[in-house]
Amino acid sequence: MTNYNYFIGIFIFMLVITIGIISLFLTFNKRKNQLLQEKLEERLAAQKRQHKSELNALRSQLNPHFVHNSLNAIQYYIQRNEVEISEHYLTKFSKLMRLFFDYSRKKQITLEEEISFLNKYLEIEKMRFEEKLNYKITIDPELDTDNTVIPTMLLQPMVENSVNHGIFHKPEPGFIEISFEKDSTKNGYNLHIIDDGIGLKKSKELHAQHKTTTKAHSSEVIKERISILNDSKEWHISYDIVDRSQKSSTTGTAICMKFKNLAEQ
Amino acid sequence: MSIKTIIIDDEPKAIAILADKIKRFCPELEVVASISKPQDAFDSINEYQPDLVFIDIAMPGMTGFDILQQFTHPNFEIIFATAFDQYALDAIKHCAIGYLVKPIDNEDLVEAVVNATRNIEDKNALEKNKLLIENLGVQKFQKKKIVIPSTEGLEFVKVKTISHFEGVDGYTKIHLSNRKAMLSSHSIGHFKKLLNIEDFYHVHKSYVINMSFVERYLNDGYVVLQGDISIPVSRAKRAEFLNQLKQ
Repeated sequence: MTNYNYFIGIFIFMLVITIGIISLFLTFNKRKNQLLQEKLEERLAAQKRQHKSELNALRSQLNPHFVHNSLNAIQYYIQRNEVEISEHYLTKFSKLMRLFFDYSRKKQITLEEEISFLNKYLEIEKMRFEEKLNYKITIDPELDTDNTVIPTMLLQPMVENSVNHGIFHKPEPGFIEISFEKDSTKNGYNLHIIDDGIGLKKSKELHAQHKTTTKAHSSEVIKERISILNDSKEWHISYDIVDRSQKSSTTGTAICMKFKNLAEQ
Repeated sequence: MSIKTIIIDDEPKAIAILADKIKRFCPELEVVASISKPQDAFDSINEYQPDLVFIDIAMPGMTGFDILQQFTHPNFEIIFATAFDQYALDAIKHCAIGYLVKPIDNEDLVEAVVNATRNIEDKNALEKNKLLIENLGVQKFQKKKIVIPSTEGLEFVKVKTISHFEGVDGYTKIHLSNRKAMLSSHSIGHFKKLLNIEDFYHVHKSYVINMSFVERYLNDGYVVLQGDISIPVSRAKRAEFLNQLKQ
Protein backbone atom coordinates (compact mmCIF):
# COMPACT_ATOMS: atom_id res chain seq x y z
CA MET A 1 0.00 0.00 0.00
CA THR A 2 2.71 2.46 0.95
CA ASN A 3 4.50 1.42 -2.22
CA TYR A 4 1.41 2.20 -4.24
CA ASN A 5 1.01 5.63 -2.58
CA TYR A 6 4.68 6.22 -3.13
CA PHE A 7 4.32 5.59 -6.89
CA ILE A 8 1.24 7.79 -7.12
CA GLY A 9 3.21 10.50 -5.26
CA ILE A 10 6.09 10.23 -7.72
CA PHE A 11 3.69 10.15 -10.65
CA ILE A 12 1.90 13.31 -9.51
CA PHE A 13 5.24 14.96 -8.78
CA MET A 14 6.51 14.10 -12.29
CA LEU A 15 3.24 15.26 -13.82
CA VAL A 16 3.44 18.62 -12.04
CA ILE A 17 7.07 19.05 -13.11
CA THR A 18 6.25 18.12 -16.72
CA ILE A 19 3.30 20.48 -16.86
CA GLY A 20 5.49 23.14 -15.29
CA ILE A 21 8.24 22.63 -17.84
CA ILE A 22 5.80 22.59 -20.73
CA SER A 23 4.04 25.74 -19.60
CA LEU A 24 7.35 27.46 -18.93
CA PHE A 25 8.49 26.44 -22.38
CA LEU A 26 5.27 27.73 -23.92
CA THR A 27 5.51 31.06 -22.09
CA PHE A 28 9.13 31.52 -23.11
CA ASN A 29 8.36 30.56 -26.64
CA LYS A 30 5.47 32.98 -26.77
CA ARG A 31 7.61 35.74 -25.32
CA LYS A 32 10.39 34.92 -27.78
CA ASN A 33 7.97 35.04 -30.70
CA GLN A 34 6.61 38.30 -29.39
CA LEU A 35 10.10 39.77 -29.22
CA LEU A 36 10.91 38.48 -32.69
CA GLN A 37 7.68 39.91 -33.99
CA GLU A 38 8.41 43.28 -32.39
CA LYS A 39 11.89 43.28 -33.84
CA LEU A 40 10.56 42.40 -37.25
CA GLU A 41 7.99 45.17 -37.06
CA GLU A 42 10.65 47.61 -35.97
CA ARG A 43 12.82 46.60 -38.87
CA LEU A 44 9.92 46.88 -41.28
CA ALA A 45 9.09 50.33 -39.94
CA ALA A 46 12.71 51.42 -40.33
CA GLN A 47 12.75 50.00 -43.84
CA LYS A 48 9.51 51.77 -44.67
CA ARG A 49 10.93 55.02 -43.37
CA GLN A 50 14.04 54.52 -45.44
CA HIS A 51 12.08 53.78 -48.60
CA LYS A 52 9.89 56.78 -48.06
CA SER A 53 12.90 59.00 -47.57
CA GLU A 54 14.59 57.61 -50.66
CA LEU A 55 11.44 58.26 -52.65
CA ASN A 56 11.31 61.81 -51.34
CA ALA A 57 14.98 62.28 -52.16
CA LEU A 58 14.31 61.06 -55.65
CA ARG A 59 11.42 63.47 -55.97
CA SER A 60 13.37 66.39 -54.59
CA GLN A 61 16.14 65.88 -57.08
CA LEU A 62 15.86 67.61 -60.42
CA ASN A 63 12.40 68.92 -59.76
CA PRO A 64 9.99 69.25 -62.68
CA HIS A 65 10.43 73.00 -62.65
CA PHE A 66 14.05 72.58 -63.59
CA VAL A 67 13.28 70.09 -66.36
CA HIS A 68 10.65 72.27 -68.02
CA ASN A 69 12.56 75.51 -67.63
CA SER A 70 15.62 73.93 -69.22
CA LEU A 71 13.61 72.64 -72.14
CA ASN A 72 12.09 76.08 -72.47
CA ALA A 73 15.52 77.66 -72.72
CA ILE A 74 16.50 75.13 -75.38
CA GLN A 75 13.33 76.02 -77.29
CA TYR A 76 14.62 79.60 -77.36
CA TYR A 77 17.78 78.64 -79.22
CA ILE A 78 15.88 76.40 -81.62
CA GLN A 79 13.57 79.28 -82.42
CA ARG A 80 16.57 81.55 -83.06
CA ASN A 81 17.90 78.97 -85.47
CA GLU A 82 21.05 78.64 -83.37
CA VAL A 83 21.65 75.06 -84.37
CA GLU A 84 24.96 74.50 -82.60
CA ILE A 85 23.91 75.98 -79.28
CA SER A 86 20.60 74.09 -79.33
CA GLU A 87 22.42 70.87 -80.04
CA HIS A 88 24.99 71.57 -77.38
CA TYR A 89 22.41 72.15 -74.64
CA LEU A 90 20.14 69.35 -75.76
CA THR A 91 22.93 66.80 -75.53
CA LYS A 92 24.14 68.26 -72.22
CA PHE A 93 20.61 68.01 -70.88
CA SER A 94 20.28 64.47 -72.14
CA LYS A 95 23.57 63.49 -70.47
CA LEU A 96 22.40 64.97 -67.19
CA MET A 97 19.15 62.98 -67.40
CA ARG A 98 21.08 59.80 -68.17
CA LEU A 99 23.28 60.29 -65.13
CA PHE A 100 20.26 61.09 -63.02
CA PHE A 101 18.54 57.81 -63.94
CA ASP A 102 21.79 55.95 -63.52
CA TYR A 103 22.65 57.37 -60.09
CA SER A 104 19.15 57.14 -58.70
CA ARG A 105 19.55 53.36 -58.78
CA LYS A 106 22.82 53.47 -56.85
CA LYS A 107 23.42 53.99 -53.16
CA GLN A 108 26.67 55.85 -53.53
CA ILE A 109 28.98 57.20 -56.21
CA THR A 110 32.54 58.53 -56.23
CA LEU A 111 33.19 62.20 -55.53
CA GLU A 112 34.55 62.44 -59.05
CA GLU A 113 31.18 61.37 -60.43
CA GLU A 114 29.27 63.64 -58.06
CA ILE A 115 31.33 66.69 -58.99
CA SER A 116 30.91 66.02 -62.68
CA PHE A 117 27.15 65.64 -62.14
CA LEU A 118 26.97 68.98 -60.28
CA ASN A 119 28.99 70.65 -63.02
CA LYS A 120 26.60 69.41 -65.70
CA TYR A 121 23.60 70.50 -63.65
CA LEU A 122 25.02 74.00 -63.08
CA GLU A 123 25.96 74.36 -66.72
CA ILE A 124 22.33 73.82 -67.71
CA GLU A 125 21.13 76.30 -65.08
CA LYS A 126 23.67 78.77 -66.45
CA MET A 127 22.10 78.46 -69.88
CA ARG A 128 18.90 79.78 -68.34
CA PHE A 129 20.26 82.38 -65.92
CA GLU A 130 23.24 83.46 -68.02
CA GLU A 131 25.35 86.14 -66.30
CA LYS A 132 22.99 86.12 -63.32
CA LEU A 133 24.42 82.78 -62.15
CA ASN A 134 28.11 82.27 -61.48
CA TYR A 135 29.67 79.32 -59.74
CA LYS A 136 32.91 77.68 -58.82
CA ILE A 137 33.68 74.19 -57.57
CA THR A 138 36.98 73.80 -55.74
CA ILE A 139 38.52 70.50 -54.75
CA ASP A 140 41.27 70.01 -52.22
CA PRO A 141 44.18 68.38 -54.14
CA GLU A 142 44.75 66.13 -51.11
CA LEU A 143 41.34 64.59 -51.61
CA ASP A 144 41.32 61.40 -53.67
CA THR A 145 38.05 61.96 -55.50
CA ASP A 146 38.30 58.72 -57.47
CA ASN A 147 38.42 56.60 -54.36
CA THR A 148 36.16 58.54 -52.04
CA VAL A 149 32.42 57.98 -52.13
CA ILE A 150 29.31 59.99 -51.31
CA PRO A 151 25.63 58.98 -51.00
CA THR A 152 23.68 59.72 -54.19
CA MET A 153 20.91 62.28 -54.52
CA LEU A 154 22.12 64.40 -51.65
CA LEU A 155 24.06 67.41 -52.92
CA GLN A 156 22.19 68.33 -56.09
CA PRO A 157 18.95 69.26 -54.27
CA MET A 158 20.99 71.52 -51.97
CA VAL A 159 22.65 73.27 -54.90
CA GLU A 160 19.27 73.53 -56.59
CA ASN A 161 17.94 75.22 -53.43
CA SER A 162 20.77 77.73 -53.66
CA VAL A 163 19.82 78.49 -57.25
CA ASN A 164 16.05 78.60 -56.70
CA HIS A 165 15.80 80.21 -53.30
CA GLY A 166 18.96 82.24 -53.24
CA ILE A 167 19.96 83.39 -56.69
CA PHE A 168 16.57 83.37 -58.43
CA HIS A 169 15.09 86.07 -56.19
CA LYS A 170 18.23 88.20 -56.14
CA PRO A 171 18.11 91.20 -58.49
CA GLU A 172 21.90 91.29 -59.05
CA PRO A 173 24.11 88.45 -60.32
CA GLY A 174 24.72 85.72 -57.77
CA PHE A 175 27.60 83.43 -56.95
CA ILE A 176 27.62 79.85 -55.66
CA GLU A 177 30.76 78.32 -54.33
CA ILE A 178 31.06 74.61 -53.66
CA SER A 179 34.20 73.30 -52.02
CA PHE A 180 35.38 69.87 -50.97
CA GLU A 181 38.25 69.47 -48.58
CA LYS A 182 39.89 66.49 -46.94
CA ASP A 183 39.75 66.24 -43.16
CA SER A 184 42.32 64.64 -40.88
CA THR A 185 40.59 61.24 -40.68
CA LYS A 186 40.69 58.47 -43.24
CA ASN A 187 37.73 58.62 -45.69
CA GLY A 188 36.51 61.84 -44.12
CA TYR A 189 35.90 65.10 -45.91
CA ASN A 190 34.14 68.42 -45.48
CA LEU A 191 31.86 70.20 -47.90
CA HIS A 192 30.69 73.80 -48.15
CA ILE A 193 27.94 75.17 -50.36
CA ILE A 194 27.90 78.93 -50.05
CA ASP A 195 25.78 81.37 -52.02
CA ASP A 196 25.34 85.13 -51.88
CA GLY A 197 21.62 85.01 -52.65
CA ILE A 198 18.81 86.49 -50.58
CA GLY A 199 19.38 84.07 -47.70
CA LEU A 200 17.31 81.52 -45.80
CA LYS A 201 15.22 83.98 -43.83
CA LYS A 202 14.06 86.06 -46.75
CA SER A 203 13.48 82.99 -48.90
CA LYS A 204 11.28 81.47 -46.18
CA GLU A 205 9.35 84.74 -45.88
CA LEU A 206 8.70 84.75 -49.61
CA HIS A 207 7.50 81.19 -49.45
CA ALA A 208 5.21 81.88 -46.53
CA GLN A 209 3.56 84.57 -48.66
CA HIS A 210 3.11 82.24 -51.57
CA LYS A 211 1.88 79.00 -50.15
CA THR A 212 0.84 78.34 -53.69
CA THR A 213 4.14 77.23 -55.07
CA THR A 214 5.66 74.53 -52.88
CA LYS A 215 4.66 71.65 -50.71
CA ALA A 216 7.12 70.22 -48.19
CA HIS A 217 10.28 72.28 -48.13
CA SER A 218 13.11 70.36 -49.69
CA SER A 219 15.42 71.12 -46.76
CA GLU A 220 13.17 68.92 -44.59
CA VAL A 221 13.64 66.09 -47.06
CA ILE A 222 17.40 66.57 -46.92
CA LYS A 223 17.48 66.49 -43.10
CA GLU A 224 15.36 63.34 -42.98
CA ARG A 225 17.60 61.63 -45.48
CA ILE A 226 20.75 62.50 -43.53
CA SER A 227 19.25 61.19 -40.32
CA ILE A 228 18.45 57.87 -42.02
CA LEU A 229 21.94 57.62 -43.49
CA ASN A 230 23.32 58.15 -39.99
CA ASP A 231 20.98 55.48 -38.57
CA SER A 232 22.26 53.00 -41.14
CA LYS A 233 25.67 53.07 -39.36
CA GLU A 234 27.35 53.32 -42.75
CA TRP A 235 27.74 57.08 -42.58
CA HIS A 236 28.28 59.77 -40.08
CA ILE A 237 27.16 63.03 -41.66
CA SER A 238 26.74 66.38 -39.95
CA TYR A 239 24.74 69.13 -41.59
CA ASP A 240 24.66 72.83 -40.72
CA ILE A 241 22.80 75.49 -42.60
CA VAL A 242 23.02 79.17 -41.67
CA ASP A 243 21.81 82.49 -42.97
CA ARG A 244 25.03 84.40 -43.61
CA SER A 245 23.48 87.73 -42.60
CA GLN A 246 23.51 86.51 -38.99
CA LYS A 247 27.28 86.45 -38.89
CA SER A 248 28.42 89.18 -41.22
CA SER A 249 27.13 91.99 -43.36
CA THR A 250 26.82 89.73 -46.42
CA THR A 251 23.66 87.92 -47.45
CA GLY A 252 23.17 84.36 -48.58
CA THR A 253 23.09 80.83 -47.26
CA ALA A 254 25.99 78.66 -46.13
CA ILE A 255 25.81 74.91 -45.78
CA CYS A 256 28.58 73.08 -44.02
CA MET A 257 28.73 69.29 -43.99
CA LYS A 258 31.15 66.74 -42.58
CA PHE A 259 31.20 63.26 -44.09
CA LYS A 260 32.64 60.17 -42.48
CA ASN A 261 32.31 56.89 -44.29
CA LEU A 262 32.04 54.25 -41.55
CA ALA A 263 31.54 51.30 -43.90
CA GLU A 264 35.01 51.61 -45.43
CA GLN A 265 37.10 51.92 -42.34
CA MET B 1 -9.61 93.88 -84.66
CA SER B 2 -6.20 94.01 -83.10
CA ILE B 3 -5.86 92.85 -79.52
CA LYS B 4 -3.62 94.94 -77.27
CA THR B 5 -1.31 92.50 -75.52
CA ILE B 6 1.31 92.66 -72.76
CA ILE B 7 3.80 89.91 -71.90
CA ILE B 8 5.15 89.60 -68.35
CA ASP B 9 8.00 87.17 -67.70
CA ASP B 10 11.21 87.59 -65.72
CA GLU B 11 13.18 85.64 -68.33
CA PRO B 12 14.00 87.63 -71.47
CA LYS B 13 14.31 84.31 -73.33
CA ALA B 14 10.77 83.34 -72.43
CA ILE B 15 9.50 86.73 -73.61
CA ALA B 16 11.39 86.34 -76.89
CA ILE B 17 9.96 82.85 -77.45
CA LEU B 18 6.39 83.94 -76.83
CA ALA B 19 6.68 87.19 -78.83
CA ASP B 20 8.03 85.26 -81.78
CA LYS B 21 5.29 82.63 -81.62
CA ILE B 22 2.65 85.36 -81.40
CA LYS B 23 4.06 87.01 -84.50
CA ARG B 24 3.94 83.74 -86.40
CA PHE B 25 0.69 82.19 -85.21
CA CYS B 26 -1.45 84.95 -83.70
CA PRO B 27 -1.01 88.02 -85.92
CA GLU B 28 -4.20 89.53 -84.50
CA LEU B 29 -2.33 90.21 -81.23
CA GLU B 30 -0.42 93.46 -80.98
CA VAL B 31 2.26 93.23 -78.29
CA VAL B 32 2.43 96.75 -76.86
CA ALA B 33 4.83 96.00 -74.00
CA SER B 34 7.06 93.22 -72.67
CA ILE B 35 7.91 93.41 -68.99
CA SER B 36 10.68 91.46 -67.32
CA LYS B 37 10.39 93.08 -63.88
CA PRO B 38 7.18 91.89 -62.18
CA GLN B 39 7.35 95.01 -60.01
CA ASP B 40 6.72 97.14 -63.12
CA ALA B 41 3.69 95.17 -64.25
CA PHE B 42 1.06 97.12 -62.30
CA ASP B 43 2.04 100.53 -63.72
CA SER B 44 2.46 99.19 -67.21
CA ILE B 45 -0.95 97.53 -67.30
CA ASN B 46 -2.55 100.72 -65.99
CA GLU B 47 -0.76 102.74 -68.62
CA TYR B 48 -1.55 100.58 -71.66
CA GLN B 49 -4.97 99.21 -70.62
CA PRO B 50 -4.35 95.95 -72.54
CA ASP B 51 -7.05 93.50 -73.61
CA LEU B 52 -4.85 90.48 -72.96
CA VAL B 53 -1.92 89.85 -70.61
CA PHE B 54 0.39 86.84 -70.60
CA ILE B 55 1.72 86.38 -67.05
CA ASP B 56 4.42 84.01 -65.86
CA ILE B 57 3.70 82.58 -62.40
CA ALA B 58 7.07 81.97 -60.72
CA MET B 59 9.08 85.20 -60.83
CA PRO B 60 11.71 86.68 -58.50
CA GLY B 61 10.29 88.53 -55.54
CA MET B 62 6.71 88.44 -56.71
CA THR B 63 4.49 85.84 -58.38
CA GLY B 64 2.06 86.29 -61.25
CA PHE B 65 -0.75 85.92 -58.72
CA ASP B 66 0.70 88.79 -56.68
CA ILE B 67 0.48 91.00 -59.77
CA LEU B 68 -3.18 90.16 -60.24
CA GLN B 69 -3.87 90.79 -56.55
CA GLN B 70 -2.64 94.39 -56.84
CA PHE B 71 -5.69 95.27 -58.94
CA THR B 72 -9.11 96.12 -57.57
CA HIS B 73 -10.62 96.14 -61.04
CA PRO B 74 -8.66 93.60 -63.16
CA ASN B 75 -10.71 93.73 -66.35
CA PHE B 76 -8.06 92.34 -68.70
CA GLU B 77 -8.09 88.79 -70.05
CA ILE B 78 -5.20 86.69 -68.70
CA ILE B 79 -3.28 83.72 -70.02
CA PHE B 80 -0.93 82.41 -67.34
CA ALA B 81 2.28 80.64 -68.29
CA THR B 82 4.27 78.31 -66.09
CA ALA B 83 6.94 75.66 -66.36
CA PHE B 84 5.43 73.48 -63.68
CA ASP B 85 3.16 74.25 -60.81
CA GLN B 86 0.28 71.89 -60.22
CA TYR B 87 -1.29 73.87 -57.43
CA ALA B 88 -1.30 77.10 -59.41
CA LEU B 89 -2.64 75.38 -62.52
CA ASP B 90 -5.53 73.87 -60.56
CA ALA B 91 -6.44 77.29 -59.16
CA ILE B 92 -6.40 78.81 -62.66
CA LYS B 93 -8.48 76.04 -64.22
CA HIS B 94 -11.14 76.35 -61.53
CA CYS B 95 -11.71 79.93 -62.68
CA ALA B 96 -11.74 79.06 -66.40
CA ILE B 97 -8.76 81.36 -66.97
CA GLY B 98 -6.38 80.49 -69.79
CA TYR B 99 -2.93 78.97 -69.22
CA LEU B 100 0.06 77.62 -71.11
CA VAL B 101 2.80 75.29 -69.98
CA LYS B 102 6.41 75.88 -71.01
CA PRO B 103 7.94 74.98 -73.39
CA ILE B 104 4.92 76.40 -75.19
CA ASP B 105 3.21 74.27 -77.80
CA ASN B 106 2.08 76.24 -80.88
CA GLU B 107 -1.32 74.57 -81.01
CA ASP B 108 -1.93 75.24 -77.31
CA LEU B 109 -1.06 78.88 -77.86
CA VAL B 110 -3.48 79.25 -80.75
CA GLU B 111 -6.25 77.53 -78.81
CA ALA B 112 -5.66 79.70 -75.73
CA VAL B 113 -5.71 82.85 -77.85
CA VAL B 114 -8.92 81.80 -79.65
CA ASN B 115 -10.58 81.25 -76.25
CA ALA B 116 -9.21 84.53 -74.96
CA THR B 117 -10.52 86.41 -78.01
CA ARG B 118 -14.00 85.02 -77.42
CA ASN B 119 -13.78 85.95 -73.73
CA ILE B 120 -12.69 89.49 -74.61
CA GLU B 121 -15.83 89.82 -76.75
CA ASP B 122 -17.93 88.39 -73.91
CA LYS B 123 -16.20 90.76 -71.45
CA ASN B 124 -16.07 88.19 -68.62
CA ALA B 125 -12.47 88.76 -67.51
CA LEU B 126 -13.26 90.88 -64.47
CA GLU B 127 -15.53 88.25 -62.90
CA LYS B 128 -13.06 85.40 -63.49
CA ASN B 129 -10.07 87.35 -62.21
CA LYS B 130 -11.94 88.48 -59.12
CA LEU B 131 -12.91 84.89 -58.45
CA LEU B 132 -9.28 83.77 -58.70
CA ILE B 133 -8.26 86.48 -56.23
CA GLU B 134 -11.07 85.41 -53.91
CA ASN B 135 -10.16 81.70 -54.20
CA LEU B 136 -6.46 82.37 -53.53
CA GLY B 137 -7.44 83.74 -50.14
CA VAL B 138 -9.43 80.63 -49.23
CA GLN B 139 -7.72 77.47 -48.01
CA LYS B 140 -10.48 74.86 -48.08
CA PHE B 141 -11.53 73.79 -51.53
CA GLN B 142 -15.16 73.28 -50.52
CA LYS B 143 -15.37 76.96 -49.65
CA LYS B 144 -14.17 78.07 -53.07
CA LYS B 145 -16.18 78.77 -56.17
CA ILE B 146 -15.60 77.33 -59.61
CA VAL B 147 -16.58 78.59 -63.01
CA ILE B 148 -18.98 76.46 -65.03
CA PRO B 149 -19.30 77.35 -68.70
CA SER B 150 -23.01 77.01 -69.41
CA THR B 151 -24.93 77.51 -72.62
CA GLU B 152 -25.53 81.18 -71.79
CA GLY B 153 -22.16 82.21 -70.37
CA LEU B 154 -20.16 81.59 -67.23
CA GLU B 155 -21.78 80.49 -63.98
CA PHE B 156 -19.93 80.94 -60.69
CA VAL B 157 -20.84 78.13 -58.35
CA LYS B 158 -19.79 77.47 -54.75
CA VAL B 159 -18.11 74.06 -54.59
CA LYS B 160 -19.97 73.11 -51.42
CA THR B 161 -23.33 73.49 -53.17
CA ILE B 162 -22.50 70.97 -55.92
CA SER B 163 -23.82 67.52 -55.16
CA HIS B 164 -22.74 65.70 -58.31
CA PHE B 165 -22.05 65.91 -62.04
CA GLU B 166 -23.91 63.71 -64.48
CA GLY B 167 -22.76 63.14 -68.06
CA VAL B 168 -25.65 63.18 -70.55
CA ASP B 169 -24.98 62.84 -74.30
CA GLY B 170 -21.75 64.80 -74.30
CA TYR B 171 -23.18 67.49 -72.03
CA THR B 172 -22.94 67.66 -68.27
CA LYS B 173 -25.76 68.18 -65.82
CA ILE B 174 -24.61 69.79 -62.57
CA HIS B 175 -26.86 68.86 -59.67
CA LEU B 176 -26.94 71.34 -56.81
CA SER B 177 -27.85 70.90 -53.18
CA ASN B 178 -31.09 72.83 -53.63
CA ARG B 179 -32.22 70.11 -56.05
CA LYS B 180 -31.81 72.45 -59.01
CA ALA B 181 -29.62 71.43 -61.91
CA MET B 182 -27.75 73.35 -64.57
CA LEU B 183 -26.46 72.27 -67.94
CA SER B 184 -22.93 72.77 -69.21
CA SER B 185 -21.86 72.36 -72.79
CA HIS B 186 -18.65 70.68 -71.61
CA SER B 187 -18.47 66.90 -71.38
CA ILE B 188 -18.08 65.15 -68.03
CA GLY B 189 -14.46 64.55 -68.96
CA HIS B 190 -13.81 68.28 -68.58
CA PHE B 191 -15.06 68.21 -65.00
CA LYS B 192 -13.18 65.03 -64.19
CA LYS B 193 -9.96 66.81 -65.09
CA LEU B 194 -11.02 70.06 -63.45
CA LEU B 195 -11.83 68.36 -60.13
CA ASN B 196 -8.99 65.94 -59.94
CA ILE B 197 -8.80 66.28 -56.17
CA GLU B 198 -9.90 64.24 -53.21
CA ASP B 199 -13.03 66.28 -52.60
CA PHE B 200 -14.57 64.83 -55.72
CA TYR B 201 -14.73 61.23 -56.82
CA HIS B 202 -15.36 59.86 -60.22
CA VAL B 203 -17.49 56.83 -59.24
CA HIS B 204 -18.82 55.92 -62.66
CA LYS B 205 -18.17 56.88 -66.25
CA SER B 206 -21.15 59.25 -66.14
CA TYR B 207 -20.90 60.46 -62.54
CA VAL B 208 -18.54 62.61 -60.48
CA ILE B 209 -19.73 63.11 -56.90
CA ASN B 210 -18.86 65.57 -54.14
CA MET B 211 -17.50 63.40 -51.31
CA SER B 212 -18.93 65.69 -48.65
CA PHE B 213 -22.45 64.80 -49.85
CA VAL B 214 -22.03 61.05 -49.29
CA GLU B 215 -24.46 59.67 -46.72
CA ARG B 216 -24.10 55.92 -47.08
CA TYR B 217 -22.84 53.15 -49.30
CA LEU B 218 -25.05 50.23 -50.26
CA ASN B 219 -23.46 46.83 -50.80
CA ASP B 220 -25.06 46.35 -54.20
CA GLY B 221 -22.86 49.12 -55.57
CA TYR B 222 -24.77 52.33 -54.96
CA VAL B 223 -23.74 55.39 -53.03
CA VAL B 224 -26.46 57.51 -51.48
CA LEU B 225 -25.98 61.28 -51.45
CA GLN B 226 -27.79 63.86 -49.33
CA GLY B 227 -31.41 64.14 -50.41
CA ASP B 228 -31.70 60.36 -51.00
CA ILE B 229 -30.07 60.37 -54.40
CA SER B 230 -28.63 56.98 -55.39
CA ILE B 231 -25.66 56.97 -57.73
CA PRO B 232 -24.20 53.76 -59.20
CA VAL B 233 -20.57 52.94 -58.46
CA SER B 234 -18.94 51.03 -61.29
CA ARG B 235 -17.59 47.60 -60.43
CA ALA B 236 -13.99 48.51 -61.15
CA LYS B 237 -14.14 51.53 -58.84
CA ARG B 238 -15.78 49.95 -55.80
CA ALA B 239 -12.76 48.78 -53.81
CA GLU B 240 -10.88 52.04 -54.33
CA PHE B 241 -13.95 54.12 -53.56
CA LEU B 242 -14.59 52.25 -50.29
CA ASN B 243 -11.00 52.87 -49.31
CA GLN B 244 -11.41 56.55 -50.01
CA LEU B 245 -14.60 56.65 -47.92
CA LYS B 246 -12.82 55.11 -44.93
CA GLN B 247 -10.22 57.84 -44.87
